[in-house]
Amino acid sequence: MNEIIFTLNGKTVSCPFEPTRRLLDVLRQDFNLIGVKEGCGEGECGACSILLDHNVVNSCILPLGNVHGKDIMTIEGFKTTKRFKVIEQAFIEMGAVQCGFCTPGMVMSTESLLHHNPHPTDQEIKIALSGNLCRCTGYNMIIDAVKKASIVGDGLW
Amino acid sequence: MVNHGMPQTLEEALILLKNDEYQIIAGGTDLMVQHRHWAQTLPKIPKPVLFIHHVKELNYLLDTPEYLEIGATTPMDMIMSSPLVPKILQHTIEEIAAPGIRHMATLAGNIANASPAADGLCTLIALSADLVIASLDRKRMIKVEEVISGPKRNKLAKDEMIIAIRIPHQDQSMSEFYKVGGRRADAISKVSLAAVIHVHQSIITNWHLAFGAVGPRVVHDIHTDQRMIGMKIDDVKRQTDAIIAMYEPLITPIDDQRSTAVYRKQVALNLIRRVIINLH
Amino acid sequence: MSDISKSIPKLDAASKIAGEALYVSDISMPGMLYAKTVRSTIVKGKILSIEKPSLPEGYFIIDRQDIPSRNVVKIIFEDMPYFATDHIEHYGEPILLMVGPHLDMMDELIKKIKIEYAEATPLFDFKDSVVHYEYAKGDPKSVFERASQIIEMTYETGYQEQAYIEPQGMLAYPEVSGKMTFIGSIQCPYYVKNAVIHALGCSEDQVRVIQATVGGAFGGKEEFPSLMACQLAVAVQKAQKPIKLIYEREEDMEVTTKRHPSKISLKASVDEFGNVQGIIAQVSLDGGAYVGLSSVVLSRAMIAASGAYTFHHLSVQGDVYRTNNVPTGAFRGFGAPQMFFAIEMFMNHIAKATHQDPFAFRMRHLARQGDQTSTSGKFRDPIILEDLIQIATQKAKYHQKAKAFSLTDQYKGIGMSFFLHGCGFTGSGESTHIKATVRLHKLISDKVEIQVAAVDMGQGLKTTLPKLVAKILEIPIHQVIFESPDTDVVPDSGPTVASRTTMIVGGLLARAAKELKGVWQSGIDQVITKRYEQPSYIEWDEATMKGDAYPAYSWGVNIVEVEVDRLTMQVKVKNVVSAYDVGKAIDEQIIRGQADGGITQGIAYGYLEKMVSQKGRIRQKNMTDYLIPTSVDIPKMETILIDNPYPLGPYGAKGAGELTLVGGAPAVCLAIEMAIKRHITKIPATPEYLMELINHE
Repeated sequence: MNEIIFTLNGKTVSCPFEPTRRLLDVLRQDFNLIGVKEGCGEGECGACSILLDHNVVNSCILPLGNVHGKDIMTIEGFKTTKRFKVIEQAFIEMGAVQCGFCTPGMVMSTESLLHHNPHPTDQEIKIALSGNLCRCTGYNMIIDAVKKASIVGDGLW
Repeated sequence: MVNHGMPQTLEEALILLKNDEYQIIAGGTDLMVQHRHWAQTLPKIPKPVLFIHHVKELNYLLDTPEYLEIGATTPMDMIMSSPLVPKILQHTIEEIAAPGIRHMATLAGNIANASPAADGLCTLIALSADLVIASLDRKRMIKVEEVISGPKRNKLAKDEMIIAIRIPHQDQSMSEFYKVGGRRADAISKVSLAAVIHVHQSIITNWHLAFGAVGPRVVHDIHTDQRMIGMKIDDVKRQTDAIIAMYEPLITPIDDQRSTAVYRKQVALNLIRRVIINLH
Repeated sequence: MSDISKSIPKLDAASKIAGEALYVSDISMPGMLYAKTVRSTIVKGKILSIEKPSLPEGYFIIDRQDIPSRNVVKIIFEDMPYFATDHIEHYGEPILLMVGPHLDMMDELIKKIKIEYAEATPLFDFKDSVVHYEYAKGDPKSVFERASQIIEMTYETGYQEQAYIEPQGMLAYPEVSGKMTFIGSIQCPYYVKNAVIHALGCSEDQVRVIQATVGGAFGGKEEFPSLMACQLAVAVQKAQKPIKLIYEREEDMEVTTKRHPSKISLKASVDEFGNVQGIIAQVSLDGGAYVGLSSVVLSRAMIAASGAYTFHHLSVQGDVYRTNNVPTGAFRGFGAPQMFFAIEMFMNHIAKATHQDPFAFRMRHLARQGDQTSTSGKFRDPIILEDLIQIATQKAKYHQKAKAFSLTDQYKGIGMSFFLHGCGFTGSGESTHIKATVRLHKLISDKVEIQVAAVDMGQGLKTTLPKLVAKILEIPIHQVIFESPDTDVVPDSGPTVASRTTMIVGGLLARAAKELKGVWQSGIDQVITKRYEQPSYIEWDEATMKGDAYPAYSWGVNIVEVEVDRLTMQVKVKNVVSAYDVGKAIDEQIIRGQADGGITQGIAYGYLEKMVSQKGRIRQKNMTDYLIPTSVDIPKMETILIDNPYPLGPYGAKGAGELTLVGGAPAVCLAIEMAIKRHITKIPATPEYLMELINHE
């Protein structure tokens, strides 16, 4: 095998066979997808969250080898969707954004949650976001935003 | 150039393992952290890697009359949400890391990494789970706890891999997993206790306690556990202090950056008290 | 005209949500090189020799031998070299930079560098005082002689790590003109600029500093980035290429500045009526290996010695101790969180020791308008602390719960803190050191550009400053432009620190906007500049620490409810209610966001966030081991704002950013005390510590 092929934001892409490379580096360096952030490099902060087959994963500890044949979506791909617009509006309205470094990851975790559970309870939202650290907001406004998105976007998920 | 392997079938994987020495990676959520180096550089994994994530035939849950079998590449999230899985194991996985990790991580990886603080390992040991281990030449079964040789060390041969976990069906009406982490989510255990217990007509008929993060390995002493079998609940409650004292010598934690030996010991023993308080 | 406080959508939110905002790590340039720092692996000693490998073309080693001018980071106290001298003073001290195009090769080359040391015995105890301040009010000596009872307690606080989610980072490049430009994750563009000028010995027009989007700072990006910039300045001079230096998380946590650990001893003289007559305080801070701005942290801590109360007699002494721990520095609150923890716990402990109801006791001592401040200045403006307390206690059902929890053994507790925060620089800092200048530039298009050096690091300035200016000018907000500061464009309006920006910079902008409005001529280029002038009634004597330490004060009340697990001593935060007087909120939602985030950090400082240095090395050096709260750890929080406009603030606004952090630790610890019926004298109040308390009393 000399290539790793996967779907990235709806398009088929291929990368040289370097399966231990961190997907985060591939996304940022090879595809210039800088909305995927590195906060800790050890799967703890969630700033690098992306979707793999529509499940949120930490791209900083995801080896490229595991991505072969999979569907990857980053904030850059997601931002063209109706669902994103709803989440974006809710985040703005509820004041969920401060420094913004955790925000794209929060949005991806929100999408992963709502995709599987369109009407989450507060506790389910908290659990869904528990791998996305935010140092600015104390989370309340983010939780409110997810809740708001689930209500306003009813039917989209 | 390092020769990493990316087999699609179990057979391919076992052939590769037979011929070369590999570091197996399933989800990668532990190993990519352990071997991480700078951003924008490759992790420093000392051996070529065998990526088994794509071996689809190992991604399954299978219920049989005697046991539940979980394939080695089944992600934790899938295990957590399956109705086939014992509640205590579901609860345990809910306490492991966060959704992003649980979508990639596997229980088999949790076992092979052999961290004394691994929550999954703790519960599987309390559940008396077996591992199905395969090499190209043979297949064998071994108790989960027997595969661990020390902190971060397992007894798998170079050409072997875990292909499945078997959890025997058993009566366990009062099982529970108690995790004491540094915060309420996404934390490594300071102490954990998996208690697999069954009470029939007020008599203990099944009793396994496995403690995490209080010794070089998960602590589980079958002889001590067996002394509980046949006891009446009322007697258990009356003799709480004596039962705790019975377990006390098994608990040998250390000080580290997450907690202290003194705290770990006291909490481990207090958790036994909690298990007993919750018996009914 | 609608109320200024009414919230509007944040102007920078959309680009952040979409992942389009550029943080420094997102910026690359053609021919850009990377830099990695090689650091001391010992805590104290002497470098005997450094053996360097021969370098392939395009790779560089930069160390102190390359420095053209001064090897010192210009902070307040100039003692920190940016490349280690022969003498190593702390673990992880930067010795050299490896610079090159490929990280793998740099890694190989770094492995070939051999550094030989002669180790010496490090010092970690509070023995080597490098800054000593003291002040007094009234006649403390005589009240202690007359005291009917003297109560004495000592409190200790630990490190706190800023844990901004974006690690430190800086990019520097040479411009064709010979100028050097820096783009960084920074709070204070002019601090960076002045540090580089000082380090290179170059002229002002040769250095340009631009702020990238900042992914959280909390003080951590106040002075530390200056060190990185000085190193990069020397490196760019040598390599003549763009160079990017981004810290790994572990590196960031191990070596960058953190909140000062402290030891605070308090002594109270209580009279026969159970009233505190005087307090004697001794504050000790661990400054780490270099003093940097620790003296300013010390003075803020010392000035907070009377908390939100009035004591007529005070004697306060403080020291910054040099140790061989990593240097400590700025962190939201800046000395106040340590002192408020101590004084709030102490007031409760005095009440208990003198068999008084703690609430009534504390209420009797509250500071009131017209009272003398701790430093013998005057609380000139109305103080509405009692209103804040009343509404917060009502909303939180404080009295009912406190009564129920105190009398029972259910391991539940509710705690309340009263606090204030002095807005702006301490003492005469604004007028003598900072001398802020702001500019409004009206373009021919009639768009108005805000030209200030203030940085939006998440706290919302990108929205609040344009909102202020637009409102005064009565123009749509989108007609106001506020780009991230570039020192080639904006004047020095001072650093983005000390809860000063809205009140001082915003205040100056408001004045500029009013003036612009008066002279507004459509289609004409117009520039209005305003400079800070100290209110004439403010008097401050630096030497005796007497006078008005701050022009204004913001006030707050936090109520925190907890449940403690009696078998594991884990604390669950159940409810949080806060009430604040920040003068006037320029945007209510933004202030609520500050309030939520601030108290989350404050509470976590009190019970959760543990960082210790063991023999000079930080033990919790990643996000796995240093635990900050997750979404699951934080309950629903309620914030009440009461207007109390400050005449000199824009629309009456005072500072808000730091205020919201300082009361968290005492509130949560008082709640835990009630739950476990033990005195807490140390933070963080971890389960390990609580278990000790339960076992030993």
